[in-house]
Amino acid sequence: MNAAILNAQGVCKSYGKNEVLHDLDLTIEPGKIYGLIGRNGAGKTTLLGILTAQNTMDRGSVTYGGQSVWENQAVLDQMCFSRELQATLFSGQNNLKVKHYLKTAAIYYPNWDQAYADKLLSEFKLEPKKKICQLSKGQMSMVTILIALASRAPLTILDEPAAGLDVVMRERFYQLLLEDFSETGRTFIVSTHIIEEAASVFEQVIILDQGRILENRPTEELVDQFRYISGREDVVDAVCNGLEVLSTHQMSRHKTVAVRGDRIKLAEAQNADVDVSPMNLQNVFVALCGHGDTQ
Amino acid sequence: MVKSFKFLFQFAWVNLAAVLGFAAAVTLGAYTTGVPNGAENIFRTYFGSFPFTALIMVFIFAFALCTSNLNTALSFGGRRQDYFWALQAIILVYTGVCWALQIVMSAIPVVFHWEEVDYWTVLMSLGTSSSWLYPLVLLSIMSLGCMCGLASARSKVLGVILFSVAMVAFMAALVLLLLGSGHTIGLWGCLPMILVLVTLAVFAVSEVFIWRTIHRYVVR
Repeated sequence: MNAAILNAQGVCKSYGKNEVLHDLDLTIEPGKIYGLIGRNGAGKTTLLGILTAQNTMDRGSVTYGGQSVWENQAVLDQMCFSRELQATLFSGQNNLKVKHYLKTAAIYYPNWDQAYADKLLSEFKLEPKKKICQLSKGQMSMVTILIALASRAPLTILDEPAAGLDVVMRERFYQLLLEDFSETGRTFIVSTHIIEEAASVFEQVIILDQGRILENRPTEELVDQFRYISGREDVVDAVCNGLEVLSTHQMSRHKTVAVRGDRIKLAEAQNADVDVSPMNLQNVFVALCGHGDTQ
Repeated sequence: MVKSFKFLFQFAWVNLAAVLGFAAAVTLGAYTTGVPNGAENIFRTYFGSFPFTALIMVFIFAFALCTSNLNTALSFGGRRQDYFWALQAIILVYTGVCWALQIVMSAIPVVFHWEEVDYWTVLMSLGTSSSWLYPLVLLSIMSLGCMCGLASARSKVLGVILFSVAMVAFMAALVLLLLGSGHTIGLWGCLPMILVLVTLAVFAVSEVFIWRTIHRYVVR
């Protein structure tokens, strides 16, 4: 069942009265690195949990290669969802040791690469006998990265793998991810808040906002639809006619707007007496999900 | 199920080694401090109360089986139903080992002609493999421990309530073992039978709760 399509349809999930995911549809195609980005509380971890049958859903269906994910061992064997580790679990300290996590991974993941795990363990300078609660935030992230990469699962999901890592380790992580991807071509979904740094790694980006998928398209294609346009207010207003204005920032008569439009419209704007500058993925994310919070 | 059993067994053998170690330490301590000749000390108390101590230990182990262990197994892609059945197998392993150990412990004073001690009645009465009361209590206490763990994971209040119920169940189990040891008093009437039925009911209710809760469990 290598390289299958993961498909979620009509997924709804509530925690009490709080509806976290609203009738969500998502397709994950094989052989790509997906970036999943969203604000705090957008429902990223809940979505990833549902995609891997670690969380329940109220309505909807999730299939992998056409087979239901729920309680399907053949499908679950193809997936690895490496979660953020927690120092406390169920009101007590997480006393499991690193070696227990690795041993458990070896039991559950059919493609587990012990040699690679040992190599990463040595490279990351992790002590197998240390308890999870004794690790720093960065070291916990290293354990999750190690498990995800050594799982060799055709669909590998990492939830906030860069959290707590210093910049050197983050760079190393992206490098390892790309090396692995070029060797195996397996599918990765990486959830992160460090958007711009990871943007070049993501072939495709999924933006989740308030429980809905806003975007699921190639990163370059998405970013290419957005521009900042700034200049005299009346000129900017004229140029923006026919473009989707996402945010506005005005100082006296000088106006800057974040816009979205097709390539032709954006090209036309370049010819007007305004400054047109590109956006990066982080700017796009803020424009789409900021909801005025940055104003 | 094999994967989940392997996963649970990596912790089970450590826990069972702790029970075996405790039994060995108590027996050795009793032997070296003159308990076989009637010495009154802490080792004699621990030796005689081994069936109860083992119950407390397996209750604590069972609690973890349905909290951190469950969470970890499912987060690595384990199936819920497999985990449930592996859990049953592990509970049986714990029960079997503790029962066997109990038989060995109760045989020691007989085989080595230790001086008879009154309050070892429970220990000695459970010394035969035909004594089904002890494994029944072990199974019920472990199921109750699992249920308490799951309840605590869901809600602290529910966990505290169930933990209080577990303490009452412990006392009931002790009374049951005491009554089953032959110290029957006319006034008890049909209490032993009632307690056996209650033990069976606790086991059944706990199992249903565990099954239902594991099937809806959300990994954290």
